[in-house]
Amino acid sequence: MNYQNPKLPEGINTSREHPLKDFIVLLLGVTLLLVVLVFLISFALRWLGPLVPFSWEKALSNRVATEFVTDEFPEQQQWLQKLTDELAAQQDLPEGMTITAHYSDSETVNALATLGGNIIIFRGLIEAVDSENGLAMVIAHEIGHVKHRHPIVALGRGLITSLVFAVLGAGGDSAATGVLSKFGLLTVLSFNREQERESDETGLAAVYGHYGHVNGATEFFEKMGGLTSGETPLRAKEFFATHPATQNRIIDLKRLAAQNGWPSSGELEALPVF
Amino acid sequence: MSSFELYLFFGLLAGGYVIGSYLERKHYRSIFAREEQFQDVLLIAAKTPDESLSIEHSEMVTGSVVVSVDYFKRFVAGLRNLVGGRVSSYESLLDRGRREAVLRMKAEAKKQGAKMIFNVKLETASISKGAGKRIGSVEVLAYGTALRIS
Repeated sequence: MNYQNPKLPEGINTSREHPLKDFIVLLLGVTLLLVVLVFLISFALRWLGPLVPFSWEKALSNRVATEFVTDEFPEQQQWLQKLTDELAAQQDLPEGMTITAHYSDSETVNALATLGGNIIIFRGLIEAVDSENGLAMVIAHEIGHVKHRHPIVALGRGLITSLVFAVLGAGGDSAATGVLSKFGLLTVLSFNREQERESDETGLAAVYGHYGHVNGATEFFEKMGGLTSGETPLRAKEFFATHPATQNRIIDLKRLAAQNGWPSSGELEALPVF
Repeated sequence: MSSFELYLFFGLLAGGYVIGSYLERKHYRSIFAREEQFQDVLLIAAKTPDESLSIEHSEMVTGSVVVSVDYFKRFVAGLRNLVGGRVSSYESLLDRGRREAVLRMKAEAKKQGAKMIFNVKLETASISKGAGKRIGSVEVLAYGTALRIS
């Protein structure tokens, strides 16, 4: 018998395709898929979030670390709570929704709304505004977030997005999904622009209801908008990270006030001296 | 993820691609050359040789290789795992592994003066078991019976 080993042609067991092509197609495809998925989830949560009873949200927030809560500044705390209550009274909050103001002795020029109707106001913000009206607009804006249930929507979005990536991670390579999830989570961590606009509108209406005019409402945004990126003090950076397009907000707020006939002049309230 | 981690990731990805492709091309050149060199050692899958052959000596020969993927290929395979399909980035890895193992077996046979290897078998073992997804290496083992024909 004559045994033979003919020379086999190349490319039977391997692909001739350029490896970078595979990489680019896969990366774009998977990224697109994830963006669509996260978008759909966010969209669904906008409807589902407000259906969660506020009492559940409150119970949940009690378990969340209370790093901002402190008894060290009773004077500031009391004053802020009073102002917050007055502004909340203008917002026609749903039954059972309560707003709790917290003073935080930090240089951060910002305020934030979180789960359970908790609003944190940083010392940096109070120092940055010239009048009570300017501060009231920011607080009313944060109350607006609570009213529209934005914190629970954001939480749900974060949780479900993490879940999606965890499921993906179980099927794929950890490094691959690790990177993708870091990119993906960036898009859901903060409130989106539409939620900011919604809260601005609710907030401005509350400021008008409380003071009878909207003078000073855009004071804080004008201050922040006046800072070009070159001269942004470090402590204001956090504000820009969570509140984009300051200039547009001022324009929108002024238009809203004009449409409703809310007077843009009136007496400004002075800030108390602590 | 900090920007440092991100740079590190892209650095590893680019480094894995550049170095990995270079080494793969180099390995294939070496495989082609040695396949030419060992062309005269025949591989036969049949269990038993034809009765007409007069066997002077028979001995088992083996060739084994452990080969690993680069960071880039593993990342692409990770993406591929999400959607399914042909994992082309691993195909060349296994192709190289099989051919290298066969070449090492042939080299051993040639040393003994054998010109034929019967009952050739290939086995593949993943040695990443237990190491999670950190190691993407396989062992390919080729073995058979080398015959010296008088």
